[in-house]
Amino acid sequence: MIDYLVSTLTLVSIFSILAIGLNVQWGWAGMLNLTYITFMAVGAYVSAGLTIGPPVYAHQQTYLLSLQLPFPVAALGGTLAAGALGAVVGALALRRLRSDYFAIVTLSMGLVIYQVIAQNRGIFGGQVGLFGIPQPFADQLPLTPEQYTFFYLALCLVALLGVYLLARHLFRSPFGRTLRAIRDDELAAQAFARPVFRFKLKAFILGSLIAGFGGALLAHFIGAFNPAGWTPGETFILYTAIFLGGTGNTLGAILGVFLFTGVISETTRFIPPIPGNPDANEALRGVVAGLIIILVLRFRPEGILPEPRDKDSNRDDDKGTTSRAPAAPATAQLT
Amino acid sequence: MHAVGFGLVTSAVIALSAVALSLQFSVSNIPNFAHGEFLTLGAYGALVAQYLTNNLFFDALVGAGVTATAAWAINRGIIEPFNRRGAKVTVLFVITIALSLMIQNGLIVFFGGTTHSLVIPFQSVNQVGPFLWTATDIVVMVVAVAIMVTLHVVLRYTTFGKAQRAVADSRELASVTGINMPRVVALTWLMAGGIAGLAGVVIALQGGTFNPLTGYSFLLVTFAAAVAGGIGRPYGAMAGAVILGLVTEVGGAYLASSYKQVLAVGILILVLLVRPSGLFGTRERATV
Repeated sequence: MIDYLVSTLTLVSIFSILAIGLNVQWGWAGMLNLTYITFMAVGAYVSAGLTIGPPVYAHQQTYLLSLQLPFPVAALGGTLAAGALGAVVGALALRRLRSDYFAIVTLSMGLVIYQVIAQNRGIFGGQVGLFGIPQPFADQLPLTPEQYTFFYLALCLVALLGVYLLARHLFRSPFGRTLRAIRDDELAAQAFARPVFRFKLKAFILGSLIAGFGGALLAHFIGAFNPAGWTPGETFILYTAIFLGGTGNTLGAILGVFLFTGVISETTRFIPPIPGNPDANEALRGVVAGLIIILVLRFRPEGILPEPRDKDSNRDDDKGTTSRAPAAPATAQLT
Repeated sequence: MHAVGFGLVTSAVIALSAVALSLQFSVSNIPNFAHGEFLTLGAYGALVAQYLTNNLFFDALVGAGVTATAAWAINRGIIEPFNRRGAKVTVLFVITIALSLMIQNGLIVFFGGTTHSLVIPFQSVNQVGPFLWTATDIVVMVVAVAIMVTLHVVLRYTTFGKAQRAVADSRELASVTGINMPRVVALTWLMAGGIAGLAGVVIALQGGTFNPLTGYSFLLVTFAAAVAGGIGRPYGAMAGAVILGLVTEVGGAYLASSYKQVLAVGILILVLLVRPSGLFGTRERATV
């Protein structure tokens, strides 16, 4: 029972990190990235690849990289690789596409990357994937396997705290304010001389970096990683969590993950399986996810925790604070 | 040459699906992510009907009818209320994603994730000119052509078709001229749903087997055809489908078959990035 709770909590904290990154892209900047999970996967593959040794079945598979580097370097590498992919995809797709076509282009690019990685044993082991991914710091620390799970949970919680503080800081910064202004009214933001494309691209890269970091933590937690671990549906699960918890609100993203992947999805495990239909329980999760998205958007579009709004409605009395962030009025007045 | 023959059959299948998507998009202005599930619903509708009778014609009609009803109900019960509150296109798009999740997984809950197939009489392969086609292949192409011709007649020569084109061109102008827009939109969902359902039956017949993910796997190919032909223009979608069908089948003859979809999606990305108005288009509709 304790094992189960610890591993569920570890997963919840990793998924919270992922949700924060997606919330930067969708919640703050309104970019509907339908293949967010691909950026998580790139972080996972690169980080795992940098730490792992040669494959067990070397005659069937090859792992690129395979450098046996220490975890912090590898996690950084995974994070940066995801960010680099984000820069390429964002630079190609963000420039002029309508938001729904942007979404379709991300989905399409994700599919291409998925097929290329899944069909080639020479990149990251193909369908079989990577396994035997080393546990971070396991050699340096004198811990029993049971104590180690607690250590890894603590590591993920610290990482989550770090990402949360970063997001909280950026949310209030001129960068975050400008993004929300762009999301609410792109023309108005342009009229305030904000370089819309550059801001969106930065937000896209930031979200990708966070995805890559979360992916690195996930790969080293599970110890194996293959294409079954990042099917396109996972992205929709993260969206459900964000809609439920509160679009645009960083704490809301965490709350959404806790409620949806931590509570709702875990309870579907305890529903007795339908005989002859082994996929039903997993599918039920998808039905519930879709239902939650529609109900939340219909009856409480802001989610459980609404996005914090600027309180300084009496702006004339506010000396100095708004002059540094001139995009803020656009957010407040045009919604 | 055989690949060209297969390509034409694939084109016919994609054309049915893409015309439905394009028609529904042009009139409602919502890119329907649940379109793939409409295809799947058609196949499962026919499967259920097959418990009653083995008459394939009847089964296909049931599949189309089930999907048409579902599409109409989705517009009436979910899309319309959001529209009345002035929801953005992005929000409506997200709603269709949620619907796609629900239908797809709902089908897995009811029918299981395993494959099913429609019972069709045994058939041999016929040599037609330079092509090798089964009887099903020929029926599929005839059905596709028949639907295209019917759609053309409806769009071009009926009052309803005229109203549809008016709404597609400009919603404001259409409503000030006294067109009952909600009714036109609702009937278009019904019509597009019917064609999509039929496309699903055709996919099931032509592919042999299907599962709850079959329609979803056609979604991006369908988008690719619709986009290549110019989004929101049913005639363009037909031309796009022919291109897509030939490129994927002929290209697939040289590459591993799992790359067929990658090929289609590559075309989609390229067209959207380089020529968002479609290969033959003049109006820019995919940009901001």
